[in-house]
Amino acid sequence: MLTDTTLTTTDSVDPAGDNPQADPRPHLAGNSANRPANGPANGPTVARTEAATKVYGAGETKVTALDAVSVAIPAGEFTAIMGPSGSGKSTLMHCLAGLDTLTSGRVFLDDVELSSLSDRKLTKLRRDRIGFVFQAFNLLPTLTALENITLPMDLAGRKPDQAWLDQVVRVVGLGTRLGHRPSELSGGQQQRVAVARALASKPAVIFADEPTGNLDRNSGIEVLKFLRSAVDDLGQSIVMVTHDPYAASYADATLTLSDGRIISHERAVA
Amino acid sequence: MARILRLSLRRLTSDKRRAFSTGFAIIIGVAFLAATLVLGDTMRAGFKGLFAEANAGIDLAVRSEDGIGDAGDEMFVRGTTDEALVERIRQVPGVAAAAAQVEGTAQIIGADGSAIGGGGPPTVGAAWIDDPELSPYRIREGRAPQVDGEVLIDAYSAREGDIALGDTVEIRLPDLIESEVVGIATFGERDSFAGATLAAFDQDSAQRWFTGDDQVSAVLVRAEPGVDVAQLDALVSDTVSEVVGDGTEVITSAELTAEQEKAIEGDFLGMVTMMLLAFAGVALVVAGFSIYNTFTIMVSQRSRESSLLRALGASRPQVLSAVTIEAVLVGLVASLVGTGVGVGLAEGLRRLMASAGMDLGMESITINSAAVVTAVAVGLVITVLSSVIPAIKGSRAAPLAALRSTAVEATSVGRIRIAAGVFALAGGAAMVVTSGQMAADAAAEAASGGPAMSVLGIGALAALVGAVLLAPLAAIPFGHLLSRVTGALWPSGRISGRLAGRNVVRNPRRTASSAVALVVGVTVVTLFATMAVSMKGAMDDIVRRTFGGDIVVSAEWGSAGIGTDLASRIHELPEVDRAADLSYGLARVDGDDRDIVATDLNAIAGLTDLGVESGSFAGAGAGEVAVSRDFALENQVEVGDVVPVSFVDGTSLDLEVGAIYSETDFMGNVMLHSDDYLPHAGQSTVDVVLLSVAEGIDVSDAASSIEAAAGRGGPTVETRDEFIDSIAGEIDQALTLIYGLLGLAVLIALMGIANTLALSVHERTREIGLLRAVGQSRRQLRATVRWESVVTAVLGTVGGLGLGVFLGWGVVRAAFARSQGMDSALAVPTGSIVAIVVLAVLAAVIASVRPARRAARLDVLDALATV
Repeated sequence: MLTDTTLTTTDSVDPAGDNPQADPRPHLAGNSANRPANGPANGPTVARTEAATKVYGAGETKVTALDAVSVAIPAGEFTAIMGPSGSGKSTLMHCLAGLDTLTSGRVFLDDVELSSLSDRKLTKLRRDRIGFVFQAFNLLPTLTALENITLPMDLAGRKPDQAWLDQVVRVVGLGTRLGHRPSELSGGQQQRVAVARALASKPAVIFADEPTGNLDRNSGIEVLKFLRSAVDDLGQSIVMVTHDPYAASYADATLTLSDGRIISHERAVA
Repeated sequence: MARILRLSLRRLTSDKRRAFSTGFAIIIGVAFLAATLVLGDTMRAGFKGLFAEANAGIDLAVRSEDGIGDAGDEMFVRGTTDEALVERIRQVPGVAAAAAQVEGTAQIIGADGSAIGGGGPPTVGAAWIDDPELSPYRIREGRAPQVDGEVLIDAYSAREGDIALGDTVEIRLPDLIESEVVGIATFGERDSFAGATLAAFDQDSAQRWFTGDDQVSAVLVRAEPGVDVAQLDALVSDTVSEVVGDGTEVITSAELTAEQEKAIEGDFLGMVTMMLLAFAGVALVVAGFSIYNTFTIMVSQRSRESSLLRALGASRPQVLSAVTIEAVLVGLVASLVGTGVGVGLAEGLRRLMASAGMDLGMESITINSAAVVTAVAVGLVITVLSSVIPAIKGSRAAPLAALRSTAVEATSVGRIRIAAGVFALAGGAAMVVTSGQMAADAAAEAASGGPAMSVLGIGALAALVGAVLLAPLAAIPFGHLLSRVTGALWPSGRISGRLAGRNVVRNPRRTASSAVALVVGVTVVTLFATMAVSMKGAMDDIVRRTFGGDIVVSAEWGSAGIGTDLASRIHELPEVDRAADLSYGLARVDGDDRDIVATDLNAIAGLTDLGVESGSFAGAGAGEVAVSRDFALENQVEVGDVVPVSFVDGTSLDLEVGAIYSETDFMGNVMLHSDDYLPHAGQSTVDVVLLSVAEGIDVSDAASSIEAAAGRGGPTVETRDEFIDSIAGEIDQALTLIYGLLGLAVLIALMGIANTLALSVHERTREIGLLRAVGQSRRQLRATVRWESVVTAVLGTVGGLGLGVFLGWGVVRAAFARSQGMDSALAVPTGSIVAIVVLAVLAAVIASVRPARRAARLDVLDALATV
């Protein structure tokens, strides 16, 4: 019923021929091996902003959440966005993910300019090209773990790539608990299912919003390791918003925001 | 307490739309109830005024004590009284005037050839009473009728029939006569007495047609000014017993008015109001379910807020009273609004009736405090009862439990509930089945069918309660079935169906209570449809089995009848082979007042097959009677026995039982010979002529000849098939009205579904945000909500259809137990069932539009941020 018009558009505007539908792993695997020690990556980007500005309210109550932010998110890497509350880190992620719109400036995902897209196309983009992991309440309580994992593909009305699904499911390590409802899983297990769902549709990028915020330390580590392995083993691009420096230490690079501006973009020392 | 009240008020005003939709169900139900009560009171007051006006100038009425049938019943026939009394009563000291009342039936034929009036209000033929106070009629034009051949008519008939003074009109008595209109009168200031037509003649003519010479219907008496009516009553009574002995009574005008009010209540008002009240009851029960549902969801949504209140130190009764006060406020406001709407509705109907020419004396609307108090109290009690149960359940939550929980789910169905449901459903079903057997047994022994009907009623109620209790169990397979069906039909829509199916199953109790409101309405609709279809089938069967003739000529109900003159002309038509007249009447047979059919017993045998068990109709003549098997059993008579039969004129005959038959549906239990009945029946008449057409004659040609012979304003002529169709048509007509009234209950139920859906959507805001974030399109989201609505409606509809057909079968079995060969009378109203399902699905789709649109409009980020 729903055809992938967005993706064909994406292909046609991609002069580099970097087909996003193709498995991104091979070239990214190379990327992660040769990543530079510091500064933003110069390789292919999966998302970027140009002078992204977001203003809430007007007059006295005017708040500038993003102030002309220009940033490129490298493909095949694990990027953390940090900053204190109100620094604009969540707004940046929401705008990158097509969940929120900019006041001015431009956002590109897969070289598609998001502000030009209708709600229908944005929905399709989220479904097919983006994976989400939220802080909590990631899963539909009425669906089993496996049904939650395949949800985006089911919504698209297409069959999941069985081999890929098996691989993802194996990495999640839930085994026999896949047929269980979320309420029967631990917090850490629930977040791992959420990551698996995000991975299963082979998105261009996964956005994770404080994925460990609601977890105890051990479960948190479990999820972070899982995210890390998704990047290392599966070549997935991941953007994670967090205020926890320990969580950020799992990333390849850390963007730090304050008052709507990027104050640093550092590469982790491997 | 004041604080809690303030909290309740704030909640209500902060969510006006929800308060409105909660109240709406009650408003509709109460409006229906109030309109019924107020209209009933208004009509009652109208008739009371009319009767009082009619009797205003009368102080006493003298009439026969005896009659056949139940006094106050429509079919009651009162005996006549000696004309000599009039002159004697005039001489009683204190009597200012006395006049003979002579009444019968006379149908005036209008200028266009159709009969005026009838079909409800009476068509009165009478002797004109000159005394302006004893008669409520006033001559507007012309003068009183004085000799044979003159008539005075009411102004309504003159207007309706386009008849002017000096015209010659035809009047059916039932034989056609022609008279010159010499006067036109009004009833007081009105054109007619509640739509009754009047043809007034000179007294001699009226007596000849209606009561017989030297007889009168009653003597109306007016006292001289200042005379004590009680004393005069005694004096008149003495004179009466001097002249005619026992058997004649003297009543005051107040008693007469009261008796007439009681009669109209029994005939018309009581029946109409009872039926409307029953529908108002169904509407209110359905409204109760809707409110229960709304409050259940509201309480669960507010559990967080309640928990916070509890944690901050509010006691459980305080939390509970906040909900209760809210319910009282909603209930009170809705009931008051509903009552107001109801009064408006009643006023609108009154005006509608007035403008349609139905002048029932209702100058203005009558609002009794009892009606208002009843309507408001019923609405309030239902609202409070339906909301307190969920409130109590909600208040049981531990102070902090709700603060922690994220998704409230109650998938389990209590064991006690299941046990009680199974018990009620199985027990009820068993009672319904048993009642049929009981009714059959009672019929075989000619005993009363009352106990069987009681068992049936209780069983039906128990089955309904059981179905309500078990509905959550049915919701689960329904939800799963949906997932499968939609997946198979629309592979791309599979996920929408699956999500909707899971939502249906996640809280089966909520789904079920949302559906149950629909079950009630659909059950009643299906019950009536099943009964109607079965009755149609049965009537068809009965007519085909028992009536062997070709044509039925029948007088319109409430008309003057066919008349012996026309009947004999029909008999003599060359197209007619065999014919038999039927007269419906009353007689006292073997001590009991009974409906009887008088006919030519010998002729009827050739036209009908009544299942003769012993004796024979052939050759039966005057002096014989045919009775049903039931009658024979009950009265212990056999062929050859003698049965005493007495008539309204006081005559008594000993008739010999000539035949015992089994088919009672067409002819009832007692058949007399016309020659024995008609001479004693007052204004003699024939109601129906059954006939067969002569060899080689086309039935429709014969029908045309009969119509031509009948003349203007004559009886209905129908072939056998047309006759069957017209019976079916009458049943359909009644059914249409019932459908209309029950449609209201179904509408309330669907609003309940819409309400529940809107609240469920609200409750799942965060889930919707998540779904939208991971790629559910607005269209898919709307489809999910729509599917949920459809499944809920289909669940309710299927439940109602099943229950309705089963109960309809029970009713048909119990009600027709006395009928022969009715065992197979049950017919499933396939057409209606398909229509109901289609309508329910369509309505469910419509009900889902607003909740679905609201869900689709949610901002993804806002929805995700919802706690």
